[in-house]
Amino acid sequence: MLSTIGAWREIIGLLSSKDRAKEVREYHQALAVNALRSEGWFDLMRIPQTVQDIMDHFGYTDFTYLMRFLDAFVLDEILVRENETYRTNGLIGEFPVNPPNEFGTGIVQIHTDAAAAIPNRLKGIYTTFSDEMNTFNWDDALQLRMYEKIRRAAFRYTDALKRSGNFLDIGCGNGIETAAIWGYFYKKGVFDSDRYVKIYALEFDENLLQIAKEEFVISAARLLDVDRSVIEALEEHHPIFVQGTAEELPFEDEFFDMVYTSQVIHWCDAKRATQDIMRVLKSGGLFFGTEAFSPFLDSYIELFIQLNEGAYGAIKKEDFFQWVTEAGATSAKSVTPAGVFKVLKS
Amino acid sequence: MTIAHTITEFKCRVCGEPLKFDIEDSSAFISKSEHEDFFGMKLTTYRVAHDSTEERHVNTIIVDHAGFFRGHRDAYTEPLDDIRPALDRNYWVFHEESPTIEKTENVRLALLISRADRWIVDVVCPSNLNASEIATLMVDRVEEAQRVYNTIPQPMETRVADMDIRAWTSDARVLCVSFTNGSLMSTINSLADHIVTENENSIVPRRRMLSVIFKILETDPNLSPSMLSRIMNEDMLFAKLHTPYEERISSIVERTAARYPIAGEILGPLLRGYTTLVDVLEGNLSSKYNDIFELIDFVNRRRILA
Repeated sequence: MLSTIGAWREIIGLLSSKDRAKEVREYHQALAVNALRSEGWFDLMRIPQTVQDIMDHFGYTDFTYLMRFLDAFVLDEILVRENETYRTNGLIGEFPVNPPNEFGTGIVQIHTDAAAAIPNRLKGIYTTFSDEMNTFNWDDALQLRMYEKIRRAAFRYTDALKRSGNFLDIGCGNGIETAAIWGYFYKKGVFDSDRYVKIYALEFDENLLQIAKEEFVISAARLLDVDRSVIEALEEHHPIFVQGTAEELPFEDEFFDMVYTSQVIHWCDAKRATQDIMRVLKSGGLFFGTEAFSPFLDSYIELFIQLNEGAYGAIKKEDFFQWVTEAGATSAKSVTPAGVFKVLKS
Repeated sequence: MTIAHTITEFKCRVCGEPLKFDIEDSSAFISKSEHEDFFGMKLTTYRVAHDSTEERHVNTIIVDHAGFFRGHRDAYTEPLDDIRPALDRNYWVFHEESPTIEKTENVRLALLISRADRWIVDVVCPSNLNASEIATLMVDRVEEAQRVYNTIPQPMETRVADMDIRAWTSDARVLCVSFTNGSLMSTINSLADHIVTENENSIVPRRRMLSVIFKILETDPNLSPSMLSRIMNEDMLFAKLHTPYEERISSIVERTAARYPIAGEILGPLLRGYTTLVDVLEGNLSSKYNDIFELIDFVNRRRILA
């Protein structure tokens, strides 16, 4: 119970407000509408068009992805669906783009660039975390306080900091999270004691992994407000950074005592990733983190996520619990809209 | 999208003549060396020569992955009739845009001499000294010492005119330094081997970088050999940068400066191509070389010019 309260305390004020959720949705909606308006969607749809007409006109190849935009626009009464055709609901002007206050410049630029990539995605061309300015912007965005808050919530919800053994941070990005987790254990005095904790950090994107690896000392020193020499002196305890995917973890069965992911599984083939995480987890091990389970992940954000090849999108909590249970979990729980979760393996 | 092309155009830094060459044609340049990604750009250094009436002009230039000229590393002239005047004992003083340092607080004279190619880089040299004569005398002394000793002392101590000079030698080069006091002696002793052996196969010395190094040493005698090696070898420091995200430069600078304050001073002009990193290091920020290189690494890892 106390752990649940602790998790909520970190999250309150971050994601629970209805106004904030509306603000986030309207922001992503405006970006999507403006991108497809520039593409000529709403000029074409002044006259009712079938899906096939739209695909042929713009050279689109991804029917499913197109349908999801059409459904979202119909739901928001931007388009009208009649007799299997789509037409505009009046004149569609440029939507005002108002980024939510908690969004920094990095994440705003990521979303701006992502919106511009929607037409290509409809033609089957995906984006990556390293496209154009994405490495710079993701590195910046991952410093956001909201990521720190949900990470703290995940740790408060579990007894991870009391556990020992091999720890895996999946989707470590630029390593700021890995450095923060390493710092949590450092503050507990783990690296000066007989307790054994070895952190492994996994990232698929080469550019972000390079930042994580080469800037670990800088990041940890900054987060802990200590001189870099303090971190350098603990080199034997530094994390091991590994390139790989969550779907095919490059580790042997039951190697880890703890596995952590935060807002990562929706970027992967969610079922395969969940199953492989359970494979590398020891019996009695803890799998925990955060995931914006459906319906808390806004449908427009989900469409932006799916610009990346292989990204699953919003995961239903029930599906997630079923996958982990099938893979050997004895207990699976989740709290808060940020989807703070913990799974124990038998 | 940038369309790669193989003809690169630039102006000779010596005479200003427009030049072009085919980067795919190995006979069109003297040498070529490729580099790691720099701020997301793939850069290659070419040495290209053209002849005028009595001399040959050699330009060392940086070219990007699309074949566009990105900047000069250096340029110099050679006499056409006898490029290596081995018999007349003369040395040609390597001239470039950066001026010779007249004198520093700790160093009165610093010359790097190529024994094989007979050039001199006069890094620190008062205008009343004849660098070519000093080089001739110093190489004589080194050759004399090599006959006398089985292993030549490093440094070898000698006296030329009224100057006490220490000389560090390799088969190809001699570094001669006359100190005004002893404060930089041990630092230069620890770095000299790198200076006389670094890029030994290159006939062109990195004059500007040597000037930068001596400038840094005046404020920080603790320059590490690894940093010295880096300064000596990073041709990319001469490249003019270009980003396709011009409208985002102020945002990039602001966000980077939040972590590296020096970015606020130098990153904007760098990303706009108004200055190069070597210009920055030659300026009044040379003492902040560590911050500058950390910033370079930080931005480079984020590939904002890719």
